[in-house]
Amino acid sequence: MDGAVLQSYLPRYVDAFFLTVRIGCVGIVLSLVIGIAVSFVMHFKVPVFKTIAAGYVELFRNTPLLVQLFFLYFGLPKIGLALSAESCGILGLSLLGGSYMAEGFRSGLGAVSPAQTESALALGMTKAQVFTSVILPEAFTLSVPAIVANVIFLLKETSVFSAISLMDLMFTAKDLIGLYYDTTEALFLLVGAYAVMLLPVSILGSVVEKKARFKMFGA
Amino acid sequence: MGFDVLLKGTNFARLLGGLGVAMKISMISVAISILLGVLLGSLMTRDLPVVKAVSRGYLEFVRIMPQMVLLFLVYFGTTKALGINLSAETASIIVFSLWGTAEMADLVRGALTGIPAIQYESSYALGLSTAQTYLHVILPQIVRRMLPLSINLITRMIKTTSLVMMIGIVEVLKVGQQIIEANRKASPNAAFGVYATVFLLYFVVCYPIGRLAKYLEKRWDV
Amino acid sequence: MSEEILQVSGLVKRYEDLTVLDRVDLSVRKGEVVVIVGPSGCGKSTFLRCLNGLENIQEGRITLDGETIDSTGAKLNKVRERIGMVFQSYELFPHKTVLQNMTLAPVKVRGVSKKDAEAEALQLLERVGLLSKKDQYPSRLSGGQRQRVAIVRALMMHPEVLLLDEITAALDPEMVREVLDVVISLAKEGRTMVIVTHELAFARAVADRMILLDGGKIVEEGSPEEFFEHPKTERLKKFLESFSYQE
Repeated sequence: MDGAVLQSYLPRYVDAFFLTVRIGCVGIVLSLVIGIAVSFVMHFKVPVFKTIAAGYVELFRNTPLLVQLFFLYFGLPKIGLALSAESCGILGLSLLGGSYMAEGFRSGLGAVSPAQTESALALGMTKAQVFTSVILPEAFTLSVPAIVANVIFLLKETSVFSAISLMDLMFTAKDLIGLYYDTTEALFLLVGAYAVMLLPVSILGSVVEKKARFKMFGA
Repeated sequence: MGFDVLLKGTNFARLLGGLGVAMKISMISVAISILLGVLLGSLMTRDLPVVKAVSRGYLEFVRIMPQMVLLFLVYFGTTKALGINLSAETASIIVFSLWGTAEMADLVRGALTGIPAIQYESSYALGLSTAQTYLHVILPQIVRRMLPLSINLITRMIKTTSLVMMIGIVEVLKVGQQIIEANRKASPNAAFGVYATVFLLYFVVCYPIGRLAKYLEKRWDV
Repeated sequence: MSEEILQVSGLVKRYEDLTVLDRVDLSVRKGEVVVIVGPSGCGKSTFLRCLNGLENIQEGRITLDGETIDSTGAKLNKVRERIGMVFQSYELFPHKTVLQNMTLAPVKVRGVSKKDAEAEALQLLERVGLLSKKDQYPSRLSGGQRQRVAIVRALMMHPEVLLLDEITAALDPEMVREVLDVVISLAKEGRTMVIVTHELAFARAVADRMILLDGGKIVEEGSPEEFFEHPKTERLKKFLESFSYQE
C-alpha cells in the first residue's frame, strides 16, 4: 500500500464520508418520524389510514432500496416529479427506513402488557396520561434493539447512493479505481470509512441495548 | 406512462429473465449460507476460544460492512491481491454467502442455546438415547425455530441481489435500463413504467415469501 | 412386607466444595409411596435427579432391583426406562401433539407398535379426562392439563418407580387439585412413587412414609401419622409450624 496515494485520496473520502453521513442522518431522523406516525396509525387502527399504512410498510419492506431509488430518480421525472439526487437519496432512505421503524415501534407498542394500562388507569391516570407516560416509554424501551438494528441497516444501505450519481463513498471508490487502478488503497479507505462510521454505532448500540434491558428487567 | 414498452416484443420476458438471474444468485447463496451457517453456528456453541474470537470478528465485520462494499472488496480486491479474475457472478455468490453464513450462524447459535437443558433431561428420563433425543426432540425444535428466519433470509438475499448490477451483472434492473435505453426515441417515458414494474416485480416475489415466514412463525409459536 | 425395589446407600452429592446430599440412605418397597419434604435448597430435587441418573454422584450407590444406576454407565438408558420422572415445568415436547408426546418413547425405545401405543395412550388420556385434547399441541393446554399429560406420558413406559419433582409448584392453585387427584389414584392402584412436594395436605393423603430432608440429610422419617401428629425432632416441629398460621 502506498502512503502517498492514501494521502492524496483522503480529502475526497472525507468529503464523501460527510455526504454519506449527512444523507444517512437526515434519512434516519425522517425514518423515525415516519415510523412513529405509521406505527400509531397501525396501533390505534385508524380506519382507512391503517390500510394505507400497512400497504406502505409491506411495499417498502419487500423491495430493495436500489430499485426504489431508480424509480424515484429516473421514473418520477417522467410524470413531472423531478427531484435532485440528494433529495431522492433522502426520500428513498426515509421511506425505506420508515417502513422498518414502523414495524419495530408497532411490535414494541403491542408488547406492552395490557395489565400496565389497567394498573395505570387504576392509579387514577387519564387514558392520555397512561399512553404518554406509561405505554410510550415502555414501548420505546422495548423497541430499542429494533431501532439499533435499523440504524445500522440504514447506514449500510447508503452504499447504493452512487447509483443515482451521488458522490458518496462507493462512488468515490469506484471512480478512483477506474481512474488510477490503485485498487488496494481505494478499497482500504472505503472499508476504513465505513468502519469509522459504523463501528461506533454498533458499539454504542449494544451499550444502549444493555441499558434498555436493565431498565426493563433490572438485570 | 411508459408501461407500453413492456408489451413490445420480448421485453417483458427479458425482464423476467433478469429477475431469474437475481433469483438464481440468491438461491445458490442461500443454500451455501444455510449449510455453512449451520456448521459455524454449531461450532460457536462449543467452548473453543479461537473459534469464538475469530467468528465474533467475522460476524461483526459482516454486520457493519455494507454488502456493496463487500462486493467491491471481493470483485476488485481479489484481482489485485490474489491475481485471480473472478467473474462478477462468482464474486457476488461469494459475497452473499459470506454475509448469509454470518447471519445463519448467529441464528443457529441462538436456536441451539435457546433450548433449555431440562428438555434434554425429560427426554432422557423417558429412556430415549442421546441420538434419539437429538433426532426426535431437539432437532425438530431447532428446525421450527430456524425455518421462518431462514425464509426471511431468502427475501433479504433476493432484495440484496439488486446490487449486483453495480458490478456489471445483467439482472432485472439492468435489463430494465437496457430496455429504456433501446426505446429512448419511441417511448421517452419508459423509465417510469419500467422501473415501476421492476419495483412491483420485487414486491410480488418477496411479499409471499415473507408471508410464508410469518405464517410458519405463528403456527409454530410455542 | 413386600420386597425392596429401590435402594440408596451412603449417597453423597457435591457441587465443587458444596455438599448437597450427605450420606443419604433410603430404601423403597414395591408399591410404597415415599414423600420427601423440606425447606427449599435442602437437596430434595437433587436427590430425585440422582435417582434417575441426571446427576453424577460422588459417593454411595443407587440400585434398582439390584441394578446400579450410574449417570456415566452404559446401561443408564435401560435403567431409566424402568424409572419414570415428571418435572415441575412439565417439559412436554412443544413440537409434538399430546398423543405424539405420549407415543414417542414407547415406540422408539420399547419398540411397541404405533397402533398399540396409541390405543394405550388414549386409554390413559381418558382416565385423566384429556381425551379431547389428544391432537392439541402443548401450548394450547393449561398448566394443569400439561402436567397431567406429562404424568401419563411417563406412565406409557410402564415404569416400576415414578419420581415426581414438585409437579404442582408451577401451577395456579385451582389447577393443583386436578393433578394431585391423578397422583392419588395412582397411589391407590399400588404404584411405587417417590414424591417431592410442598403440598403437606396432599403429602399426608398420599404417603405411606414421610421424609424430612434438611441440609442434605434425612432428619426424620416415619408414617404420615407419626410425622404430622408426633414429630420427634425440633427441626420437623419447626418445619411443620412454618406452614401454620396459628399461634
